[in-house]
Amino acid sequence: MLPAWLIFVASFGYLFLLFAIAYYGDKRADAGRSIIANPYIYTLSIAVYCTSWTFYGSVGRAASSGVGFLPIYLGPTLMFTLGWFVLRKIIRISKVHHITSIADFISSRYGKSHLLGGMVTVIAVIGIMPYISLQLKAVSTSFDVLLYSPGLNGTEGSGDFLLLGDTALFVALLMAAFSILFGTRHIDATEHHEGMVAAIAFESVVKLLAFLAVGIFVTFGVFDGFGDLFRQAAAEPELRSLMTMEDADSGWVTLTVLAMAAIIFLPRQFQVVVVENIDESHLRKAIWLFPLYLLAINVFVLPIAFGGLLRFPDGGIDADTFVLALPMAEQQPWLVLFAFIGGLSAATGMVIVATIALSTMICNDLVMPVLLRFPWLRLTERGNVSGLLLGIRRGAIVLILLLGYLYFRLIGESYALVTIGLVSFAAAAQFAPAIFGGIFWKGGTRLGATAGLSAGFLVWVYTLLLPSFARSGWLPVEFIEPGPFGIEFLRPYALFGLAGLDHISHSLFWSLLVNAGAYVAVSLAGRQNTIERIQATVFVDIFHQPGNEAAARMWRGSATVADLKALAERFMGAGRVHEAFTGYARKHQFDLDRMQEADGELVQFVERLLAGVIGAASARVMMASVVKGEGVGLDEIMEILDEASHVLEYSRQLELKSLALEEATEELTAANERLKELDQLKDEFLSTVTHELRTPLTSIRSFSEILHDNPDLKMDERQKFLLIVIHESERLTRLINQVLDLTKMETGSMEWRMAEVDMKSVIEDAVATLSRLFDERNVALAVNLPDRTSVIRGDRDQLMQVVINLLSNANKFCWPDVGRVTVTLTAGSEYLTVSVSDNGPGVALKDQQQIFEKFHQVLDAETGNPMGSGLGLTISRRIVEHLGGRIWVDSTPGQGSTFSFRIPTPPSPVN
Amino acid sequence: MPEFSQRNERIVALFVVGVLAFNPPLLRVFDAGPDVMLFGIPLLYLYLFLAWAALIVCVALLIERPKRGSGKQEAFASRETKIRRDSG
Repeated sequence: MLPAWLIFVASFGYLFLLFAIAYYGDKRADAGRSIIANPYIYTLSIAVYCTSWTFYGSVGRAASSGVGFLPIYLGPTLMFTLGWFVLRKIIRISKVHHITSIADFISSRYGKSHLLGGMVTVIAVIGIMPYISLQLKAVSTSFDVLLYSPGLNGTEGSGDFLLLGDTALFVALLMAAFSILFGTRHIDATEHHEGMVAAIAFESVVKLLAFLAVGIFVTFGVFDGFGDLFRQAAAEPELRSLMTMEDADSGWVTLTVLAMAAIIFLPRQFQVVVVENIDESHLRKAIWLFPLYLLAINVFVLPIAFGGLLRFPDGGIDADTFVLALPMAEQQPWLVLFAFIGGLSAATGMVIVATIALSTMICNDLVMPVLLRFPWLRLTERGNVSGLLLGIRRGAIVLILLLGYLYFRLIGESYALVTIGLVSFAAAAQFAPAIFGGIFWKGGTRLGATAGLSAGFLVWVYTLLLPSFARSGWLPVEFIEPGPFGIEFLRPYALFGLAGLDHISHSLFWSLLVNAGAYVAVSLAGRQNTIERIQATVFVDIFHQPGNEAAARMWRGSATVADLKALAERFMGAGRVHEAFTGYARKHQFDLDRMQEADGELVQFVERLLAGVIGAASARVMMASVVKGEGVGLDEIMEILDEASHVLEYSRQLELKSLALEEATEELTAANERLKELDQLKDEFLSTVTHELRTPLTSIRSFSEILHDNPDLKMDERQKFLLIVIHESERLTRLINQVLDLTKMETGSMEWRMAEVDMKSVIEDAVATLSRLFDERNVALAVNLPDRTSVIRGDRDQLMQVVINLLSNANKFCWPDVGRVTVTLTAGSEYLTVSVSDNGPGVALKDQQQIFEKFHQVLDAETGNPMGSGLGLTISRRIVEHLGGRIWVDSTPGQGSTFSFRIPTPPSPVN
Repeated sequence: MPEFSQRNERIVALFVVGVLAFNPPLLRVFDAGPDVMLFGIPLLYLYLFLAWAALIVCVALLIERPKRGSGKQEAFASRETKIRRDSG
């Protein structure tokens, strides 16, 4: 139907058009008028996700499982719903740190580790190998269908035109050449491939239009709309199950999860979504436009699948080729050509971006670190290295495509497209724990990520890759059944006896389990070093950072501007470096020519610039070769930071301590004043006591002297004097006892004999004891006591003393003959109150509080002499307060006074 | 991100709705077999594509609503309208 030459002319013409677009895109970018700086081109470039898998494979999958092809597109839709959190964060981090690939991202996050970067690269290359082989298979199959399908084509045998005979190899080499032309024309400071993005976006339009054209033709041309198509299909018994979840159910959830991971973590998706992103705000549109694109390209998958199944009921045509076979069978040569070009664009888009992304990773994270390790290569001192970089990348592209071809030759021919692709998705999903953990959890360590990635990757190899070799005959088939060395336990499709899952779900479960498990466990068990800690904070808190200015300011190494410039030129070429430097100088407003020593910020700028070309880890090594002295010295920065924080901590503590000290000083001052006061009180007390002691002593002494000196005194005189001596001695004894009691109470060494005491009897006893005193001065004493006993808890002797004190005071202050004293006991519900009233002179208001103080003596209103020892009331108060009660005085001067105290009664009435 | 909190919550809610809508328990509800067709299309297909489209529309409305500008401006604008409403 289509002559072979036309197919080739069209293919080459299309590729040439792509190249022209890319060239134009690069030119515009160089001129500063980017054609890709809008969200629509960005969205279309993300649509590189739709490869031959989508273009041919979806129909094949739909023909066998109904809606089972959809999770691959629903997953990305869900992930893009969360894009505002996840993607934006990854994009921001990558922009700030000039991340060039997913390997660079992971290595950068975990302390710029070469090992991790290399490992991610290896996993990516091996993991993507099946995916690339899928594209080769799809393109070569589409060639074969066009050229050799006699049943469809009509004209037979035009394939002689193909000199190489091996379409896939031919396609692989062609694509390699194409990718090299596209992606490695020069080394760019920003690592943006604007031309490539423009071409990819164009391809996305082409494949969408081509697929829609075929879909519309099948639905409305071959059949009479959706209704007719589905009605016919529903009439076929074997097709009915495709309209249910029956065949789609198995692995539905797994596929969704896989696709969610793949849309970010496939190296090519990371490349277009993150690395090639020009403006973060473009994401806003892409978040809903990209799912819309997916929706559009999937609308006609089911109609084409059913159309194919209805049109070719005998199963002689591979469902993966329905997109071509249907228009061919309907004799639509131009539509066939368009569909073929669409399939070609889907495949080339994927291969170009994937190989460019992978070659960057191989160069920056695998080869360069190794080369930098060999001192004899003198790479750190050599002249222009950008040629070497380009060489490595070009070699890597060829290598990747040849690996893909090899996998296709070894394995791919026996599998359907989607099955091959899913193996790659499962490999890409291994990056999920390290990246999600890396951007949301500061605790993830380099060792944790290394352990998780390697464990997950090994399980993937064991449960997916090796069995596929075994099934294709490259390993003994016994490896799968009954298991390696006959150990059933280790069967790769039913590891540890986990049977009943499809292969992909089974592998995904085990690999992610050990991956995430090892990542978390090792991270928690270990510790981060300085640079890991810095990077973890920088990544996780990317939205809360002013930038790296602080670190730059702390930088203490020295480097000349000329050295830095020379270093950058070796990797990027003089022109681009000059541009970058003048741009930087303009922005920061200084004269580069006059500036000799680079400051920290410029050094950081150059390191980021280099990181954009050779990756963060290698850039660090290269910078260290130029920077003199302590170098970039992150450890040192950290030390300084630590020191600073220590100093801060010390000063904070000092401040706290001085505050505490001030408080203590204040307390001390207060205590001191109190002490002084007490001291003064003690002095007063002592002087009073001495005075009090001296008075009776003087009196005793003088009367004794009189008795001694006058032996001829009359008997009654003698008796009288002796009585005075006895009284004064008694007073002295009492005083000394009181002082002792008070001291005991104050120091707490008083012994209290607590018992149940009947207050009534206490008062009766006291009254009996004092009745003689009252009689002597002819003071009337009235006693008001209740009939019942009134029991409280206390020390009987002490209580007795209180009553005696109060009574004798009352007696003392009453005028003889007219004095009247009343003692009353009232039993309340909570308290027993004892009041002693007299009709003496009363207590002046100002004295009412002070009379309970030590040695506060009320002077006799008439004689001006003290009338008591000054200790009685003090002791009474101490006793009452000790028993939980209160003592007070009510008095109106001139009308007598009432001294009262009350003691709480025990809670349960004892009587 | 915290300045966006309400929109963030809505985004997460949409994500959860999407996860629920596109997974087995709910899918089974619409899995009515080949004989139940609406507009000539099997119910399962119609549901999947319409739910998909609805999710995209919701996300678009949510993400695009504040034309240009940051969350702070958004918050400021909403506060402004509120104040105006309060005062008017």
